[in-house]
Amino acid sequence: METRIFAACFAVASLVFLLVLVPDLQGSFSTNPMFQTAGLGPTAIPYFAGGAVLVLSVLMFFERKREEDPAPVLEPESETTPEAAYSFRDLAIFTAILTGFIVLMPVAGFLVASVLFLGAVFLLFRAPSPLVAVIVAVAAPLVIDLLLRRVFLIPLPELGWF
Amino acid sequence: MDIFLNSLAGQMQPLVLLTMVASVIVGMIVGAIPGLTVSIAVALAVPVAIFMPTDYALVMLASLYAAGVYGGSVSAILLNAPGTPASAATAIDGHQLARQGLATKALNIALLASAFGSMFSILLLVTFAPLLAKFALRFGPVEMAGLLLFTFTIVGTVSGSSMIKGLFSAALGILLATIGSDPMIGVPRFTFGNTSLLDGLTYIPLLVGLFAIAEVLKMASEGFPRQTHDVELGDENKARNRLTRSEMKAISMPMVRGSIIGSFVGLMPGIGSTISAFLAYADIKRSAGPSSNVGNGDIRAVAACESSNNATGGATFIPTLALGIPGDAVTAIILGALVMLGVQPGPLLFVTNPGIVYTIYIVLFLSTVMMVIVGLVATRGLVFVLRVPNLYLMPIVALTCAAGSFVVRNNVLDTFVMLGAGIMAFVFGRVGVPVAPLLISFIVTPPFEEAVRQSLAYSHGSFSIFVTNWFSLIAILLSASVVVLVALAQRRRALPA
Repeated sequence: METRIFAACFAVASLVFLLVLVPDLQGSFSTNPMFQTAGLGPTAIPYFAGGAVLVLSVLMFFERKREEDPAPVLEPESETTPEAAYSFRDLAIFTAILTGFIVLMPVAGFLVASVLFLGAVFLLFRAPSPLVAVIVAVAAPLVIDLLLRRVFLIPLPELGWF
Repeated sequence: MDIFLNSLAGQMQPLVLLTMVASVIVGMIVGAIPGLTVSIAVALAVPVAIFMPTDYALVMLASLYAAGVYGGSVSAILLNAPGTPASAATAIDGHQLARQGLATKALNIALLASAFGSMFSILLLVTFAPLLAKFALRFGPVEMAGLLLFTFTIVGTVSGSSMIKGLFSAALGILLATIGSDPMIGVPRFTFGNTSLLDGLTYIPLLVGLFAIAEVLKMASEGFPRQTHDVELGDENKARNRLTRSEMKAISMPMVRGSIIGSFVGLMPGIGSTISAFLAYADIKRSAGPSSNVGNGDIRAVAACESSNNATGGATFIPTLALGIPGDAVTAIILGALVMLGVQPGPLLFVTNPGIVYTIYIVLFLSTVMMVIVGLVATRGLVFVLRVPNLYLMPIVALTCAAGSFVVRNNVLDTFVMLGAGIMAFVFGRVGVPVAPLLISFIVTPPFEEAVRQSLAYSHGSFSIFVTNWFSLIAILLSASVVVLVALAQRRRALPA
């Protein structure tokens, strides 16, 4: 079911891409003689890729789910670890906190935003030891900040006082 | 020779060696922690690497890669939880050995086989990459277009369990790569008036999101599960865990066969070390016969899988360096980092900048040696790292990702690209769409588009140029054959017996 919803969403998105965005792009340069070239123009690859996504989404929608192979020899190249219990609520909470961190970091600086981010995660996901959680929430951003800013000379966002 | 000696001397600097040791240790630790893969280790290092001198950056990235694959086998053997997908095959027999009180033996065999596989593939890399590059120097845009078409096909068809999903991922990678200025005439495409998008989607946030954030989101959706530990190395019988001469003899052929399989797989873009390890496992199971112990704790299986997945790592550098086509997701990340450092992998690299090529050879060799030393000394220490709860680890990974994505251009848009890529890759994981084809396609689309459009400009818009050129024609025919063969094979598997 998840796969079908996924495929349907991408089919609709690719239709919008092919029927609205690519023609818009075509219109933006087709009247300018400076942009006329022999062969393919700037919309060729987008049309090809959008068309491929549309066709493959439709095929994915109708693809029959493969029966479980009793003795699999080749596993799919997965970059993720095996499945466990899934909670949309936990995912939504974490994504919201991460989004907050991303918005806050350029304003409050890396250190402050990181401490708040880790604190919020440990609090909402109920860290087993409050003491360890506090130590990690403060020490980890400090160590990362020290490493990146002082050792690797990478300019992290800082808190603007004035 | 002078260039080689200069590169070698460069790698002998104390600070370079220190970078290498630190990267090997970090690579092993990250590889060993289930959920943190080699791809994540290398992806997280890229934002740091682009601020370093090229030599140091290469040392860091290549060492992380070399050590990370071995690190994955530690948790595979001890916890039956592969640290990286490439170690999943090792877990089958490795963990059985650990349960029989032979964890140290299994770990030592994994280390030995990993080093053997790496050295084997480095030898191939040194031998064949220059030859391939010399051949590829004759390529014009038509040949390049054919070769890249073949890359898209291979990457899409064989890197997942479903060809449709693999090709879908590759097509989406092509589509995302079209965002930004057109490579031929500079028309802005799908930028919506945002000047930050004129250079396209920034590469680092995309890869950090695809690999690291996706895994963090996955862990978050599972409430940051705790690991279980059922193996203690302290109680082992030391005499039983010593490797005997007959055991060394028994694992020698599986290591050679595994290395050959792994190297061959590494030459093909997009297949990766997970499949090579399972192919080596299938090979050792077949060659050992039905009465063998394979599946119940056989040292030959551990040796075959580990030599194979490490050989793939070295061999993936052959197409990456010689053709500029990444062999797998990790070399795709390294290739992108090299481009950001001003080094363009491809046949010309061997002519214009041989020092970089030698540096990569030397770094891969030295990091393998370092991996053996650190592995022998510190593998037992990795057991302690495995006890760090995910709840403390994963949010730190997330904030490092966000900071790394932000500092590339000091642009908050990049951190949103990272988050978007992470959510997309998380959804991909839920529905079984592989991520590697997307990244590889994203990287090879700009040269593909340039090659196709240049070819058509030469031929005044006629597509016949692609079938009148023998190399391009062979590439097209091979691509079509691969699609048909894989489709037939998957159809056969889908049909009820």
